[in-house]
Amino acid sequence: MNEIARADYRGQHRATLRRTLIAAALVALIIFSWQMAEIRPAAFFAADSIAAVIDFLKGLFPPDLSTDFLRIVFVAAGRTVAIAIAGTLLSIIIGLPLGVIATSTLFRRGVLLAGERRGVSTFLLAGVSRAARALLGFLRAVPDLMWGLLFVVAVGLGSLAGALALAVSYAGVLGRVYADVFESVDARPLEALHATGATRSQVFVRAVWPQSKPAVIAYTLYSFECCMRAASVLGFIGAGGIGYEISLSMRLFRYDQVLTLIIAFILLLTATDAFSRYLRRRLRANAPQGTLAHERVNGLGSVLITGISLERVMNIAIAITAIAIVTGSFYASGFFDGSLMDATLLQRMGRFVGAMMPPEVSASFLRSLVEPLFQTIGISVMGTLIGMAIGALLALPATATLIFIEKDEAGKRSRTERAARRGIYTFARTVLSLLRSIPELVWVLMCIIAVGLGPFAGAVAIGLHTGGVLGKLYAETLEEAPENPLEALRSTGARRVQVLVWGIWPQARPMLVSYTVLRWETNLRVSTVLGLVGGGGLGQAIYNNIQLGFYTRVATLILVVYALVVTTDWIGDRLRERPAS
Amino acid sequence: MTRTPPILFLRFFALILIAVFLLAAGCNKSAKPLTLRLSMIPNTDPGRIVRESQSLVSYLERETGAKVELTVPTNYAAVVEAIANDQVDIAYFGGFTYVQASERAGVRPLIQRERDQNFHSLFITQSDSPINSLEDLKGRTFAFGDVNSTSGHLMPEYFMRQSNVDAEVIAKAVYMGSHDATALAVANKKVDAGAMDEAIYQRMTSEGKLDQSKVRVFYTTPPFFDYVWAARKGLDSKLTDAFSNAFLKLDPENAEHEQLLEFLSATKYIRAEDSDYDKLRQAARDAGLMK
Repeated sequence: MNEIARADYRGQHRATLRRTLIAAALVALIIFSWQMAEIRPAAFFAADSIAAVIDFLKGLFPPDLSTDFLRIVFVAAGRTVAIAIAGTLLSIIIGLPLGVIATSTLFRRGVLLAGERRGVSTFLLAGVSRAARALLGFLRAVPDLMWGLLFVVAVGLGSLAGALALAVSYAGVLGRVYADVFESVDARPLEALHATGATRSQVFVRAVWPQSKPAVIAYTLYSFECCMRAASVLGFIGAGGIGYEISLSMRLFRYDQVLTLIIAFILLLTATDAFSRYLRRRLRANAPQGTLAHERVNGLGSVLITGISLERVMNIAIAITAIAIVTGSFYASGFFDGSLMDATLLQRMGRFVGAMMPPEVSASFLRSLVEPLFQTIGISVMGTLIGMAIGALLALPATATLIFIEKDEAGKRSRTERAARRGIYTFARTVLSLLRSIPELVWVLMCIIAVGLGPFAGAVAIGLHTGGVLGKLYAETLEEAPENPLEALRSTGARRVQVLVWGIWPQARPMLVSYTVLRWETNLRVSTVLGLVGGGGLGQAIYNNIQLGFYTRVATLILVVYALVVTTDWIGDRLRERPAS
Repeated sequence: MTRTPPILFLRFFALILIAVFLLAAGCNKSAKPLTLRLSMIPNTDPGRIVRESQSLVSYLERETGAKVELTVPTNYAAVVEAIANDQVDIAYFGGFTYVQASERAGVRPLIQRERDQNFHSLFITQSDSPINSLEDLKGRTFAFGDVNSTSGHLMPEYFMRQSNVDAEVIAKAVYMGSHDATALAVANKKVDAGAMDEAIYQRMTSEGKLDQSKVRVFYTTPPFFDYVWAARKGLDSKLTDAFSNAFLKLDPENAEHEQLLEFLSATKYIRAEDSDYDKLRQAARDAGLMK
């Protein structure tokens, strides 16, 4: 008894110590980040900043809707869509094989290898599989914009560079996700097939693929949405499309055109969202049921019985449209002026990679990286904090369960109050969606107008976008808090605030922490590229060194970014596993 | 169980790809007519160059007899790389990018505007600022343009070093990315001072983009060589001659020519010499901006 009490005490003591240490570390990190990101809240309230922002806002209206400019916008939007489609398809082509090879249950462990003699080939295959996984991790860790900048220099300006950048970057994302999906399937069918003497490829086609197909399709669609977003901003570094036009109009001080372009951008994203939601819904509604054999018989049966049914004609029509869109996309992305089959394309890329070797590691160069590295970390931390603040502030009025009156109170409140509450809710939701639909890179350009070039503009830009993302996630988490404990609290007469503090908060906290940490990981990646458009940090160093042709330094910088992202992911995983309690 | 379109889509994936690749192979253009691929780095006004370049293109097509393709990149390094890879035939470089391209790709200079032989950078600050000379920059924040810009970075930095401006000012300077951005940052007091292209300063003030009551010039650099059109190594000399002549014969008395000259912010074109850029080369090496 005594023993247990002492252990308990020691455990508590250790927990307190841990909490104190974590809190101290956090405070230190924030102070450090504050300094590195050169946070100057006063800069917002300087008369000149306010005047510049007002000028900018006035310049936005009315948006330029002249026919000439709309034509430019239309072409740019088309090019962005083309880049996104071509990029997504290429990323599947690269990502799927790599993902299969990287699947550990196929090549490294699990039922397939259980009975196998461990020969040289097994060993070799495991090595290749591991290498594929590492490659995917690398492709994923280097931000898409950075790939864009590299491809712009390696293969030339324009859509081709954009599509290739997306292809490489999202191949990393997709390949990793595919591998994870393949690994998480039910192992019993694999085992059963393996026992019948099926080869590895047969096991994959008959057992792994059917189980993972829905998840693979869902993730691929999601990745297409991300590609669309990324394609729009890739233009900033010269890869064509809407981003290119935004940066041009920004340079020309044609803010009215900027507004038109931003509206077009938001419309484009909304349409993409709607399109992929539609596809997903159809997919779910028609999800295959029963076994593979059953499905095949059915499929064969319907063909035999109905012959050429209306449905079949429809499907063929859809397929033809798809081919046309895809072909058009590749055409518009510049693949058809011989460049896809152009032997010199590979040669040029090879030459470029060759020029990057070996990465420069001179002491003076490495020393010069310390400051931008810390700046990047500082920007990501401060950006996330600003985002948390904005998100938390807007999440409360955007939480339906908090802002609307509970059913049993319906009669007690006046109609005007209900209207006011609905108004506040709608306002908060609209602001949140506006904040998150404008990408960080566009926010940076606007923040530069307000607070000048540098890390502070970068931190605020990340904060604004993150605020929109986190606000929505926070609100949804709060809304989804299980109802029963809240009901119990309310029945004791607890007021709204008390319900929030004692009912919703404890239930929602782990999710809130997890979302925030995840977002910080994303923001770190973003803060490495903000410098490409003037937001400070490592991006600036990469941009300058590419511009000056110091490719061996660029190689070092990319490795630094890679190490930074891997480290952050690792820390993030730890934080999410054991949220600081 | 019927096949749904999305799944069908995936089923057709392979087919689509085959179609695309076949098309791509089929579209490999063979025996194009003589094409001159030009690239113009938008030092002055990218949007205008992109959106108003048609008259220049048709003039050059007439004069050279070749089909002219003009690209307007926003990235200096990409042009240097493209001309090294024979993807661009003739490009318009700033002085510093010309020097980089001549080192890396062996480009040859062709022609330039008369004013490019006698170019200056301007150092600007706010009208009410206490800064009156380069020495006063100590302890102040300073803005350059793009890191690759001759008049926005290389030469201003060179003359700052020559005048022994505090090294901290240069080390802490920000790179705005463009001359316009530098001008605006100074006007809006985001930085204490900045260096920019004189031609762009003149354009911005005359067009009212830059409020002259807000900024003033406190130092003008000695003259240096800047912008130049240069051809890639191995380009047919008949083409380069035709190209150069088309520019050399531009005459402000001629109405069509006058419009082109106005578009190019030029009065007269003259031949360019590589040796004129030796001083610039040295400046770039001294500043560690070129190996």
